[in-house]
This record gives sequence, structure tokens and C-alpha cells, in this order.
Amino acid sequence: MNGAHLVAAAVLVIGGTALFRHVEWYPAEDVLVIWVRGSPEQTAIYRSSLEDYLAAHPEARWRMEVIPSRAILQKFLTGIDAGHAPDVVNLHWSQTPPAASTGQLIPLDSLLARDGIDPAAFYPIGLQAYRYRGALYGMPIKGATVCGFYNRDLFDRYGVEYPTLDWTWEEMLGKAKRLTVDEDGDGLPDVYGLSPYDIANYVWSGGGDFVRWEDGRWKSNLDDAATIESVRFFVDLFWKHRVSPPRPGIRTEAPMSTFTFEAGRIAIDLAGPWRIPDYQWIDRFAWEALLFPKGPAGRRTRYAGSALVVWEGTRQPEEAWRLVKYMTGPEATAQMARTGSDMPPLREVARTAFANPETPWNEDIFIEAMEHEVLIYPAELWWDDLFRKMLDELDAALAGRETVEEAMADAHRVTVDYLERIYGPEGAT
Amino acid sequence: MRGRQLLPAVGFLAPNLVGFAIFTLGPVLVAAGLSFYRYQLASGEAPAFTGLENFTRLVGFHHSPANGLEANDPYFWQYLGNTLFMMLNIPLSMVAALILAVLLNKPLKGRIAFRTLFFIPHLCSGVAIFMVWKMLLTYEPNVGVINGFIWDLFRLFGVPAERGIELLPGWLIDKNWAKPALIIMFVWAAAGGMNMILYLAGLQNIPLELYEAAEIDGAGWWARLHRITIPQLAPTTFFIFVTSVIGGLQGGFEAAYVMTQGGPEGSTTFVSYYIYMTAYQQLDIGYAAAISMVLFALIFAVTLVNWRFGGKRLEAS
Repeated sequence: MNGAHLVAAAVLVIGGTALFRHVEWYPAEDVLVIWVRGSPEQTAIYRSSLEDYLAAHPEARWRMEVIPSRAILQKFLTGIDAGHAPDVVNLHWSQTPPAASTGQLIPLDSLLARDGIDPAAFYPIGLQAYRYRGALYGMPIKGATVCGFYNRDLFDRYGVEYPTLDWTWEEMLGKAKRLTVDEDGDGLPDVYGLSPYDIANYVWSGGGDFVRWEDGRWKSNLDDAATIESVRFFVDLFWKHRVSPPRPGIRTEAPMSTFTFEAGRIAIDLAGPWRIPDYQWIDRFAWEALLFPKGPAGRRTRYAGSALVVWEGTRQPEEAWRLVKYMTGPEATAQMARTGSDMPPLREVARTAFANPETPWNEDIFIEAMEHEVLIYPAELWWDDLFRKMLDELDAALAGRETVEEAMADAHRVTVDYLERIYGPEGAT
Repeated sequence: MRGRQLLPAVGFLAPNLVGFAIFTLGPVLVAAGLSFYRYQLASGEAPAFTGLENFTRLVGFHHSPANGLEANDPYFWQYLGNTLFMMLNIPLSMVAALILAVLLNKPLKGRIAFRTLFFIPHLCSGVAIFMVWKMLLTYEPNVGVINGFIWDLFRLFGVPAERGIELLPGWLIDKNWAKPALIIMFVWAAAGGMNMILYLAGLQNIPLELYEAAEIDGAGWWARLHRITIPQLAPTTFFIFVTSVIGGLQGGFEAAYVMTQGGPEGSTTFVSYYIYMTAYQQLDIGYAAAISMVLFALIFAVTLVNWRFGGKRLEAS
């Protein structure tokens, strides 16, 4: 190494350091950050809404960053710990407990009251889903519930009547049996009647629940007769009636094979409007939306949606709240409704902006579904972990290796043990 | 080393060492430290030193009046069992790699093409491989290729359809079949990968004189393989085994995440997946760090054992 090399190295180091000092590594003091997630189409609409907002408020300075859905909570919480979190974040409803339990989100109830925002204008579940320990932490930006879709061509081909608005589990099972068809006579179904989505809708519509709040604590409800019967109905769809393609576990919400609705191999697909971005391109058959069938306790379906939350450490809380109000307000959510899958959280906007007369399917079904009983899981930090363990025990029944009673007894034991670790022995409270 | 040699040596090593210190050693040390703390991410509470509490919760046992001795965290033992079971793929994939390497070391026509073909899985994205295998292992025989083949065999032998459906393996949907399904996939993916390349390199380093002398002495194919090839490949086998065991203890996360989400009945949840769930779903960073440290200790112990006994065997060979 000679002198020239040393001089060159020194120049590189000094030059690099100078450049390093001029890079804007984090937004300047007066730039606020919003994290959003979603498909390219969804994030383009978010961006367009933000641009509209900035045009109306030229003094505001915002930067939008698109974060992968699976990573957004983890990055947000890590950012909170590091003291560099975004000012506003778009979180999934199930992420409310872990985010709110940090104590690092701004409670929004008083801001709603101060600014005269009427909570009654929203679907009740749309606000309830973002409450934690009674306080509201998120303003819903979209939200819907489980409904379904059916392949009209298959119904026509096999002479099955279309589902009605008040159809029941038994009717669904009857139709699914007639629509599970071995077309080539090889002893195997080529079309399945039903993809039943997740088990919660059945447990709730059957009058049961996974856990119940009693004596100031959560207790397992898996020994409840209505819950057991609901689980039996769900499990029987797979192994007794064989109207649904097998799954790797109860936790998965869709079949793992090419037996899909898009492929024309599922006649009734229970899911929500979030499937529309995929289904809108189907041109091989006609399809229509349907309501989830009524169980013994009526129609009780699960909510799904997302909200904007404000980090408590934001330098400009008022500006952050102003943007949240705009992005979750009528104008911006009506724009989001253009996707055909993102239902506005405001009742009136949903009615006017979500229904699209140009589509061959009826969006009113999704709007109607929100008027029935829509539920969520307990807003507890431990829920996802317990639910996973509970459902893993039920897989034995799904695989046909245990009876529903045996699997439910195992799941009940696991749930009781789990909750006792949190609250202590049941009799002690 | 003279001073004028030391400086360039340090200069050349520095980029690697700095990267290692920042991105590997640093996080490992921090995780080791955190494993002694109760630390819930973004809870607003500072990490609290709890000594060995996380480890007691993880690997300890307690007495239950109903069931006697019970693990404090039975899921850890279940997932560790899953992880160890999955390591059955290591000897199988090593044998497969050795067979492929021996075949491809022969002057066969088109062997370069075959080497490339067998190596392709190693070049493919893991997720792509998992998706393809997910399709192959689909239960329904009119969709899943493997069960389709078995179904055709059933029909060939006159097994009634109802009985055939009962007999079909529930790859990925039955807890008794899920791990074997993943093992088959891992063996397929690993057989033609780096292990085969390492064995090929090892085979080409074996002096031809040994085979010539053996032939003169009348040794057959099996004797040459058993007495020359396998002993001469001992260092390669040892290296492959050690790295595969380490990889096996750490691995399985991607496959479980993509193919089974850890199910059915938690049968494909591995320790690495448990760490992920604990850290990023439960946000229990301290406990996740403790699981990582136990996994690290296991890997370290296996490596030490391998070095200890593997080293002796190498000296003997």
C-alpha cells in the first residue's frame, strides 16, 4: 500500500462521511408519516386521497409509506420502542389489542365528541372492533362481514334453486349435497358444494361461543352444548357429508387445493367482499353474492376491517387527527369503495357509494349483511395464541381421528388451563 | 505476522468482521441478554430482569394434582419433538445425495445435463417449491398427483372407491402424515443440492490408484464403495451432517408458514416457528429470546459432539 492509496482511501472516507451527513435519513421535523397497507389498487386510492387532502391543506406535510400487511404491526411496535414510529398507521382490526395495550395510541372518544362526529353514523361493530378496555383507538377506514358467493351456472346446470335471503344451514347443506358432483364417474367429486370459510360464524350462528365473560374473567365455553353442536355441523361438512374439500386444519379458511371458486369447482363459497378483487375477473361462469345462512340462533357473522390509529408520540397530534378524520370520512371512504371490496364504515356512504349498478353482482347483499348481528373475538392480547391452540385440538375431529366430543373435550381442557394461567383457578375467583 | 502484513490482513477481513459483529454477533448477544428479562414489546414497560424465569417456564416441570409431573410449556416440547422428527430427512437426503453423486461421477452420456437438472431445486425459491409440493400432496386424488397415482393403483387392484378414499394418505391434512410429507419434500429438495455437489467434489478427490489397486485385488462394486468411497468421503459426510443438523434445528419455518401454517394439530409447528409466533404475534420478546437461546444451546451441543467424535473418526480414517 503506497501513499497514493492512502490518500485515495482518505478522500473516499471523508467524501462518504460528508454525503452521509446530507442524506435525509428520516423525515424532517415538520413531515408526518402515515403507514398504509393493501393491494397496489388500494394503496393507489389511499395516495390519491392523501393528495386531495394535501391540496385542500397546503400547510400540511405528509409522507405515505406502504408497508406489507404481515409486517406492519411488528414494525410499528418496534418503532414505538425505538421512539421513531409513524404518526398514523393503518391496522387490521385483530391488531387492535396488541397495539392499544402498549398505551401508545391516542384515545379517540373525546376527539369524536369534540368535533361533533356522530358514532351512530358508523356501523356499531366498525367502532367496537377498535375499542380496547372500553376506549376507542382506531377510526375504521373499511369493514365488512362474512357473506358468500355462488356459482349460478352450477346451480342452473344441476337444477338447484338459488339461495334466498333467509336461507338456513339445513338448506345450505341440502344444496351443497346436490352440488357435490362426480362428473366423470370415477368415484371422486369434481365439484364440491361448499367452501364454508371459518368456524366462528358457525359457532356464533349456532348459539355458542368459544369463551364467555363471567365473574369478571374469561372462561372456556367449549363444553357448552350449542357450541359442540355448531362445531359438529362444521366438521360434518368435511368428513360425514363430504360436501367440502379437505383442509390442513380448522384454522385455514380455504381449501388447500385447486378446488376453488374461481376454478368453477366450488358451488357455494362463504367469504366476504374482500374476495371480489379476485372474483371480478371471472368470465367462465356467472356468480352472485349471498348472505350467510341462518343457524339455530340466527345469522351471526364475523367482522373484518381496518382502521387508522394515531401514535401518542406524534409531534402534531391535531394534524394527525385531522388527516385521520379525512381519510375515514365520507369523501375518502367513498373513493375506497371503488375497489368493490372495501366497504365504507359509514352506513350512508356504504349505501350510496358501495353499490355499483354496473357490476353484474349485487353489492346490496354485503350492505344488508352488516345490518345483522356482526361479532368479533375478545379484544385480548392473548386471544390469537389461545384460539390457535384451541383450534389445533379440533383438527383431530376435522381429520376424522376423534369424535367431535373428544376433540372438544381436549380443546376445553387446553382452554381452561390457558385461562387459569392468566386468571387463576376458576373456583378461586 | 509482521506489522506490515497485519494491516492489510485486518483491512481485508474488516468488512466481513464488521458485518458479522453488527448483524450476527450483536443480535445474538442482545438476545442472550434479553432471555433473562421479561420484555413485552412496546408495552411501555422497561424490560425487567427476571433471572432464569423464562428458562424455568420453558424447560421446567411442575407437579399437577391431576396429571402428576407436567411440563410448564408443553408446546415447546411438542414443537421440539416435531423439529427433531423432521431431522429424519437428513440421513435420507445424505444417502440420496451420495447415490446421485456416485452416479453422476461416472462417465455417463449427458451427465452435465443431469447434474444441472438435479441442482435446479437448489436454485428455486423455497416458496415456489413449497407451493408446487402443496399441489402434489393435495389429498383429493383427482387434483393431487401423488394421491392420484395411489388412487390409480387402488383401481388397478380393484379396491372399492369408498375404501380407497379411506386408505389414501392425508398428506398435509392429517397429523400422522404431515411430517412424513414434509420429509419427502425436503429429501427431494436437498438430494440434488449442495450435498450432491460436495459429494461430487469429494469423489473427485479420491485417488484413482485406490480403485485400480482394489480392482487388481478382485474387489467388486460393493467392496469398492464400502471400503474406499465411503471412508474416503468421511470428511465430506461429516461436514454435510454437521451443517444439516444445524440447519435442521433452525429450519422448517418457511415450509410450515407456506404449506400448513403449523397444522394440523400443531404437527408441523417447529421451534423456529414457535420463536416467530412468540416474538411477533405474542410480542413476548424475552420468552422468544429464551427459546432462541435453548435452540442455540442445542445446536452448540450437537456441533460439539460432532466435532468431538467426528474429529476422532476423521483422524482414524
